[in-house]
Amino acid sequence: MAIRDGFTHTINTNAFVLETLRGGKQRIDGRELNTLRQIAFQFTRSEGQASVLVQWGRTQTLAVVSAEVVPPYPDRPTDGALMFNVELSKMAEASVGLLRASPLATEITRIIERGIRDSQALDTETLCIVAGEKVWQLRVDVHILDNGGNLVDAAALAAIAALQHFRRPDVTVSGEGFVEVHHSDEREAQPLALHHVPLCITFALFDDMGKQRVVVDPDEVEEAVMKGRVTIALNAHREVCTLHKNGGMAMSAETLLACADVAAAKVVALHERLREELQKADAAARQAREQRLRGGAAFASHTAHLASLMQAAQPMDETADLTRVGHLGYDDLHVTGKVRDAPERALGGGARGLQGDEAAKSALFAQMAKAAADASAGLESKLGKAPVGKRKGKDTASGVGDAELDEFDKVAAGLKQQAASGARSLGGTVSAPAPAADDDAMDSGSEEEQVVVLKSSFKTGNEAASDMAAAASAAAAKASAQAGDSDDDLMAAVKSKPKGKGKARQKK
Amino acid sequence: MSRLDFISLAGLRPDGRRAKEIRRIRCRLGVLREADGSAYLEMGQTKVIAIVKGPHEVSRRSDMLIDKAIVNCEFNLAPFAGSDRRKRRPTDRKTVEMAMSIKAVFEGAVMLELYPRTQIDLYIHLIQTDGGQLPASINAASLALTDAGISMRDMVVSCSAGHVDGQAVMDLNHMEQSHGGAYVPLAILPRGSEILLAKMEARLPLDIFQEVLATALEACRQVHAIMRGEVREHHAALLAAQLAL
Repeated sequence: MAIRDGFTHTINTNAFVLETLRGGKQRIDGRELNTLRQIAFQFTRSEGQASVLVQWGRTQTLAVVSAEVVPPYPDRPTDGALMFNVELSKMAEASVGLLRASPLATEITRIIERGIRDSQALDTETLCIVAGEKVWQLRVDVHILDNGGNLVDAAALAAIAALQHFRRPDVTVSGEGFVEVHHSDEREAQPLALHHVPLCITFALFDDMGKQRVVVDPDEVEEAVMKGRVTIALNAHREVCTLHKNGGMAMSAETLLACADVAAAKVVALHERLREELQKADAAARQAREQRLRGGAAFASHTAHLASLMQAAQPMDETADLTRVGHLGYDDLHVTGKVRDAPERALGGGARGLQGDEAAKSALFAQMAKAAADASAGLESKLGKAPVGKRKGKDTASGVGDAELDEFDKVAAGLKQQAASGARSLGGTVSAPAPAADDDAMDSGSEEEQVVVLKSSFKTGNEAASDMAAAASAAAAKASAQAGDSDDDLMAAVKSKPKGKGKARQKK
Repeated sequence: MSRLDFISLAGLRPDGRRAKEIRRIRCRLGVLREADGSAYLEMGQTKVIAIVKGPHEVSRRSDMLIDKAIVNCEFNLAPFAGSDRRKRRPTDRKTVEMAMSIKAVFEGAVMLELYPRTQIDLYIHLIQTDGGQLPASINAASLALTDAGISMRDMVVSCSAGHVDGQAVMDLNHMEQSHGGAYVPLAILPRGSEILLAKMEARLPLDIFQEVLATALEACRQVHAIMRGEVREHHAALLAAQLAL
């Protein structure tokens, strides 16, 4: 809607609002006298910055917190700085008549400053890096995007929520006083040290022919009709952080204290709601960071895999197969090897793939596949037993169930296909892996099977299943670092059985 | 900094007052002949001059209200007023906040409907500060408006209260105000004890806040007694001078 149906303040509107309040039960938007409007949050976190978009009824505010390393004030060498700034955007002004930006913005800024900074919500001493030289300066910018009434509460809520969501980059101070600020990818950023969480609640005072009426959280219609306003900020411990009654209709001390009581109750509920939202947002932000660090597609499939495993593990009752408990292997809890420093990384869709040229990549793939084939063939003939992975239906000592093995096989198959397609796309050749006897050994995940066999020669049967996962990384590592391979036995075995190698070759 | 007992064992504060005693108030009305109304007020060592110009025609036509007067307030903190000489910009956040507070208070107290299409200007000059800037300014403005003969619902009186060393105290000076404890300036219409302005900095549990609020109200009543006495004296003298003519 290009032009909003503006609210015009008329005598009729005045009379209507006051008459509705006379009833003592409802207000013109259907709320009760002591009910807040619906509040929604949207959190964002990025490097050295956090922002919250608060939607409070029709009022929208956006708070952005950013940090900078600066020299401290000379009279406070060990204190960081916390600065607030509230701006009324033109969007907010245009939607409701005349809003002279600067006095109202200044008033809101001062209320937030008093509520958060002067009530010692944030310990500025924790922002000190090098006493007398470097401290953190935090800047909170609140933008009022839409004015639907009660800007103070929405702005204050956005400000404190943003401060809670913000993560301060970690710093190290070297001996000479050189300060290094770490990117949050290297070192996890720290939350701010907030002692308490002050939240504002605003009350509107109406003059109904001499009688005073009080409501909580006025919307824009009520704001136009009201004759006075009082804002009380409290924290969840029933401590008054700031009080702001700036002229307007006079009120008695009893009314003020009654308002403080109502505000205390509202703040406790709002604080709880904010805490839940912050937890969700923090979890989402952390996951996004993990995803960014470890590579997109591989991690996505991994988390799905992990999730399915977790689901399979529940419920935990007496009748459940206890052996199913230990199915979370190393690979289920870590996504190493497949995506970190591995040649396959380029295939896995990770952000950091191999930076070599195409020929080198294809050569590497060929080497990998060849080594895997050789090793498995050699070992098999040497040990004369089926690969570990073939223990389908057999309850192993480490308690790997059927379903999990199948799942793993599927993942392995997928990876193998990716490897093959990757090598093909780079114009390299892949020597088809050719393990021995069993037919099903050839199928899905044969490369993985071979890899499994590789590991099994050095571990006992108990550890075999748990090492299945490590096998993926092991295979790649071994393939790409043959010369420096520590598994000398394996290579000796491979080298000593050329006949087995040839036999395997013939099969495919 | 050595630890200072804000309330000593004898129950005295550093300036010799008890917890529930306000500072000495001295005030004079009509100190400037040129202004429509003026007043000089001292609350302890805090010294204020307030000047009223109006009601007069609105300088900016667009601001004019057809049914009411508008109130403008300008607050000046002299550079030599505090312990450090500092010239503050007129758009300094605290200055603007003070001016807005004083304006809002008197918009609620002055009978604006009696002066439609006009403007009432308040100029507050703080020439020495020792805590309690806002209450002193409001009191001085109240006297100046009385001197100007502008109708008000009631005289506005203001005082501060706080919480130091576990006790609620009245009328804080600069040291007590800036030590980080609670500071509650309050402005009321004394007849019905109606609150026009209430602010607070720093944290207080709700029950202690009730006690501090009650203390502030009592302080305002004490201030009112003194100011009313002075106003009566001043006008009695004026009346006597007129009758003598």
